[in-house]
Amino acid sequence: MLLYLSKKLAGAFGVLLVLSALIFFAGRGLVPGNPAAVIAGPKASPETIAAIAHDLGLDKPIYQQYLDWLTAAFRGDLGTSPISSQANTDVIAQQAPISLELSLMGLLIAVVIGIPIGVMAATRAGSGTDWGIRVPLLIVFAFPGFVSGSAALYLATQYLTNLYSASYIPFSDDAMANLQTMLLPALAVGIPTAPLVTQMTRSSMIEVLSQPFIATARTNGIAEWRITYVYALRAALPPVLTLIGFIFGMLVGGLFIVEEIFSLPGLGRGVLSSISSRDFSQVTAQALVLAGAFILGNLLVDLAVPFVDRRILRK
Amino acid sequence: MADAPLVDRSPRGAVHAAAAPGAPLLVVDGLSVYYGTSATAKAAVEDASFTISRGDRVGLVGESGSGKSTLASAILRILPAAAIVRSGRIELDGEDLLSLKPAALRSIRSTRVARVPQDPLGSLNPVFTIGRQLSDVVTAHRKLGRRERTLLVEEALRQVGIGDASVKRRSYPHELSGGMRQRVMIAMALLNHPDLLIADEPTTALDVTVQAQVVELLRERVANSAMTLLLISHDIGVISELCTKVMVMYGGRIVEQGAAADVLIRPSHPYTRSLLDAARGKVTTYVPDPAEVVA
Amino acid sequence: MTDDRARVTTPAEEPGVVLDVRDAVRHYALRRRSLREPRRSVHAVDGVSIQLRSGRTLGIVGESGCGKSTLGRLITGLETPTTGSVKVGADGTPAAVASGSGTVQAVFQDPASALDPRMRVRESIGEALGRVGKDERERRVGEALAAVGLTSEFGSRYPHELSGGQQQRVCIARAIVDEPDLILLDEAVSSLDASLQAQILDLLERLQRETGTAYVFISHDLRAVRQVSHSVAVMYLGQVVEQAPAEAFDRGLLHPYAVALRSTEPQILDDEADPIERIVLRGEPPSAVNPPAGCRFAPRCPIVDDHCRRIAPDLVEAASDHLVRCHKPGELSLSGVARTGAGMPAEA
Repeated sequence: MLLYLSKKLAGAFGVLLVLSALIFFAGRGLVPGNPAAVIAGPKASPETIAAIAHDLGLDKPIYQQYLDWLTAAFRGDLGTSPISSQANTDVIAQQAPISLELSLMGLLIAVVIGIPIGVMAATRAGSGTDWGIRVPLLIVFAFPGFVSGSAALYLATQYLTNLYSASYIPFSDDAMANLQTMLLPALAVGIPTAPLVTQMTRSSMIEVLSQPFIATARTNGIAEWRITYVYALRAALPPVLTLIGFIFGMLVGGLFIVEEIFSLPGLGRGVLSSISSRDFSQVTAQALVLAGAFILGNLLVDLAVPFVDRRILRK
Repeated sequence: MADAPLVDRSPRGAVHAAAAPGAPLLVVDGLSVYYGTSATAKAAVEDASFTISRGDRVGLVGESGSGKSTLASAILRILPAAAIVRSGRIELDGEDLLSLKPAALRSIRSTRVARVPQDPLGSLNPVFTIGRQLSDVVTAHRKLGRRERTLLVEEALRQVGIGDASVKRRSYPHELSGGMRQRVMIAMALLNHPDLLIADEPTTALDVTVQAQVVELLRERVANSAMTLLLISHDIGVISELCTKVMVMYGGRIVEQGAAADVLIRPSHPYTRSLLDAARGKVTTYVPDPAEVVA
Repeated sequence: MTDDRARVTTPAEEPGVVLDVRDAVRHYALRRRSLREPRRSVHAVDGVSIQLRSGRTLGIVGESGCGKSTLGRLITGLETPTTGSVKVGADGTPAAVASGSGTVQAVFQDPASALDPRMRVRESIGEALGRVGKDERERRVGEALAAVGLTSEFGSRYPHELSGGQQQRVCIARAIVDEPDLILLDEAVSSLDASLQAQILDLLERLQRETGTAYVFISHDLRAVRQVSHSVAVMYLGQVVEQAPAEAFDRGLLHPYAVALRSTEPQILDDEADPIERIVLRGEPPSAVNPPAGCRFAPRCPIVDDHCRRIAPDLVEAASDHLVRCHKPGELSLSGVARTGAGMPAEA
C-alpha cells in the first residue's frame, strides 16, 4: 500500500511540475500583448514600460522568471495581479470554492443518475429497454452546455422563481440558500455528464456480468438484485471511478458556460475575464490551480480504487 | 431408461427426509437443447434421458462440443440466452426444474443442487474476500447471526483441508493458489448440504499433483455426506477414479450409459472404445471429430 | 555408438547432436511489492544440461512454474540464458543466433492464435520457407500438407474454417516444411481432445521416422510425454530431478517427485493392468523465488529427512541413461508404500 501510494503521489507531483512549466511559458507566450505595455497604458513612454517591466522581473531571462515563480508558488504565493493589484491567491480563493462546489454537485448528480441507469441498461443489454434508456441519454449528451444551461435557466425563471436566486450566496453564510442557488446550475452540469457515466457503467457491467463468478453466485441461490448491485457493480466500478476522476478534472475548468449563464463568479468565468484583461499573472495562477484540481481528481481516484479492488495493490 | 420411473410426489420435505439410497433423485427425460430457434439451429443436446438415484456417483464423459456442459447448464438452469430447451423434462425429487419460478429456483440452488465449476479463479468474485462470499451463500438461504455464520464458514473451510480457516477466510481469491481456490469452491458447494453435487470439470484447470488432491477431497466429502455426485469431465481417468456409473456423450447424444465396470471394461459403443483406447495411449480406432464431419 | 538413444553423456562434437544445453540458467528480476522487501529474482531455469540427437524425442514434464516453458524459450532462442549455453543444429550454433534461421521450429498449445487469421493455410505454411522459387514453394507446401494428412484443398482455406485438430496439423506442417533439425513441441496437444491427441501424437511419430527430426516435447501431461519420448526429463523448480528412458516410467523411477507424478496419472478401471497406488503430495508447486536451501523438493517430499533439508543433492547417473537428483533414490517406489507418507490424506 505504501509503495503504491508513494508511486501515485510521485507521479501526480511530476505531472504537476511538467504542467506548471507548460502553463508558465504558455501564459507568457499566449496572452496577447506585452504585459508591461498593457499596464502602462497606451500613452506611456518606452522608459516607463521598461521600468514597469523591470519591477515585474520581466527583463530577467525567462527560465529565471519561471524558477522565481515556481519557488514562490511552493510557498503559496501565486503572485499579484499587476492590473487589479490583488493577490492572485485571494482572487482564486473566492472563485475556486464556487467552481469546486458546482463540479462536485454536478458530478454527484451525474453519478446518481448515470450509474443506476447504466446498471439497468447492462442487465437488459440489447433489449428494447436498453435502447430506450440509451438513446435519450445520447441525445442529452449531444446538447451543447449552453443549450442545457439556458434551458434550465429559462425553466427556473419561468416556473421555479422561488428556487432560483440570481445572486451567489456562499455556503458558509447560508447553506440552504447556497444549495438552492447551486441546484439548477449543478443540474445543468450534471445531466449532460450523466450519459458518460452511464455508458462506462453499462459496458463495464456487461463485461463483469459475463464472468463465471456471476454464474457461481446464481447457482448458489444469491438473490438477483444482490448479484447485480453488489457482486457485479462492485467489480465493475474501477473503470467507472477512473472516468469520474477524469470528468471531475474536466468539469472544474470547463464550467465557464454554466457560470456565465447563471452569473456565478467561479473560476471558469475568472479565467475568461483575466484573459480578456490580458492579466497574464492571474491567468497563469488560475491555470495552475485548474491543473492541480485535474491532477487531484485523478489522484483521489487512484487512491480510492484499491479500496474497491484489492488486486491493484498486488500487481 | 427412457420411461420415467415412478416418482414419489409427496411434499418436498417428506421426500427429502425419507429419501432412501437408491430412490431416484434426478430424472432427465427426452431433453433436447438447441442453440437458436431457426430451422437450421444446432442441437447441443439431443434426446438425453437418464436417471440418477440417491447415493449414485455418476460420471458424464465427452469431448469438447459433445454437449456435456450444456446438459449440466440445463440442469442448473444457467443456459446462455441463445440456448433453447426444445423438449424434455428435468425433475429433481419429482419437481419439474424447467418450470420453476425464479424464487423457487433460487431456494433450491445450493440447498438441493450445487455446483463445483471448472475455473476456480474466474468463479470467485475478485473484489470480495472468500469468507464474505461463503458467508453470503449461507445468508441467501438461512437467517443466522454473524458469529454463527463465521463459525459455519470456518468449519466448511476446515472440512476441505484448509486448516488456518480463520486467517484464510480473510483472503482475496488472487491471494490463494489454484488448488486452494478449488477447495474453496468445494466448500462453497457443500455449505448448504445439497442433495446433488454437479462438478463440472473440477480438476481441469489444476496441476496434476493438485488434481490428485482434489479428487481425493471430492471422494472423501461425497462419501462423508451421503451426497449424490454428477461429475462432468473430458478425462475418463478422473471419472474412472470417482464414479460408480458412467454416461458417455458424443455429438449431443448419450451414446452409452451403465455401471462403471461395464462401460469402462466392456464398452459397447465404438466411440466409448476409441475414447478408452486414446486414454490408455492406444490408437486403434478412428472416430472423426464431430466438427470435422460438419466441415 | 551402437546405442542410438539420446545419451546425456554424448559430447557435443559427436555427429547427430542437434541440441546441447550446458548448465543453462535463466533468472528473472522481480518487481518489489513493498519498499521494505529485498530485491528478488525467479530462478526459472537453474542449471539444466541436456543433449539430444537427431531422430530422437526428449520429453520434458513438470507442473506450472517448473521452468519447462522457459527452457523451451531458451531452445528456440527467444531468450538467452543468464549463464551457460544452449546450442542447436548439427553445427552447434547458439540458439539465440540460430533463431529465425529455420534450424529450430516450434509448435505451441493454441493453434488458433499461432496462425494469422487473415492468411490462407498455404501462405501460412509457405511463410516458413524463406526465399525459394514459386514452383518449389508450391511443391513443398503441398508435400507438407500431405505429410500431416490434409488434402491440398485445405491450402486455400482460412484458419477459422478449420477444426482445432486441423489447425494443429497446419501448425505442424509449417514446422516441418523447411526441414528443421529440431522441433519444439510446447504443450502441442494439450488443448486437444483425447482422441485427437492420439492422432496428432501418432502423426508426429510417423513424421519423425520419415524425416529424422529431433523433438523436444514439453508438457504437463506425463502420459502424453511418455508416449512419444525416448527419454523423459522431470523438472521441478527449475531443475531436472530425474531423466530416464520412457520405459523406466512404468516401474523403475527413482525420484519421489517423479514417482508421485507417475502415480497420479489417471488410471482407468481395467481388468488387465494392476492399479498403481496413488501418492498424493502435500501442498502445491512452490514458486521459484527463494527456493529452499536443501533439496528443492524437501517441503513436499513424503520421505524427507534432515539431511535432505540441509544439503541439496546433485544430479547423478544411477544407471545407464538414468539420472536422478535425490539423496534417497528409489526409496519411494511405484508399487506402493515404501515407508511412510504414501497415500497421505490431502493437506490438512
